[in-house]
Amino acid sequence: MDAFDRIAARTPDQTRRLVSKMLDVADRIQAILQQKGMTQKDLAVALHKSESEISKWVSGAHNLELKTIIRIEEALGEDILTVTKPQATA
Amino acid sequence: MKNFVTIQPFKTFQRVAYYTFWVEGHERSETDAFFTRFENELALANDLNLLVAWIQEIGQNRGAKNRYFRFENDATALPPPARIMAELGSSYCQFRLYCIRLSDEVVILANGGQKTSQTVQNSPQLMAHFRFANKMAQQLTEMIQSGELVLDGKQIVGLETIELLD
Repeated sequence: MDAFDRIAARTPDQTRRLVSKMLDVADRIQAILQQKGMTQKDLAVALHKSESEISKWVSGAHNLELKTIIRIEEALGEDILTVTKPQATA
Repeated sequence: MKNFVTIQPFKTFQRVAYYTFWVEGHERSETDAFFTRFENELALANDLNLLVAWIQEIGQNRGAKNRYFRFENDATALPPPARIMAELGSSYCQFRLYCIRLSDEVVILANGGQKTSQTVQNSPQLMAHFRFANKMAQQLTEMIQSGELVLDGKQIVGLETIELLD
């Protein structure tokens, strides 16, 4: 076991979940852009942001605030996050 | 003096094979030297955990997509580019691990360190590793263009000892 493996073994699940969720959001934004034939520049224009800012959003290391995600959803016309709701009981 | 460098497998995941450089005469590979150097620094443990989690997540589930990597002249670096966010603390991942992304499936990790200033030029600990990664990236690009080095999925075909240019 080398240093990388030892660090991996001690890395908390919370850190892994954080990285995974950030990349999920980034990948979802990128997928919607491709599906709609939009570029990062188009999204930047729609949100009055710089293209470099959008580039950070789709890199997966940007911890986006929920209100920013909502703005992106509005600009793209698609949901980025969906939350499972409990089924109504009779 | 000329240094000879070999490329060796480092870690293989479902989507990405990570390789590393081993400089002749050195005790460890460049990437093992990086992780060994910082492994026991408690103040940097969270940053190092994040970096390892990114490498594993990209390797296992995502593939080495271009946009996950920072551009560092001819080389690249991890972690992915991001604005410093309050939730992660003002010291969010101070590390730069230089690498050379050859495809979505092949990444060669080099060495790195703590980025203590806005520019790499003002981070003396990083500069040597930045230069090394860029020198390797230039040589590998030439080798790929000439057909001397070929990628076959996660494999690098024609792994040779590379002579570092002075």
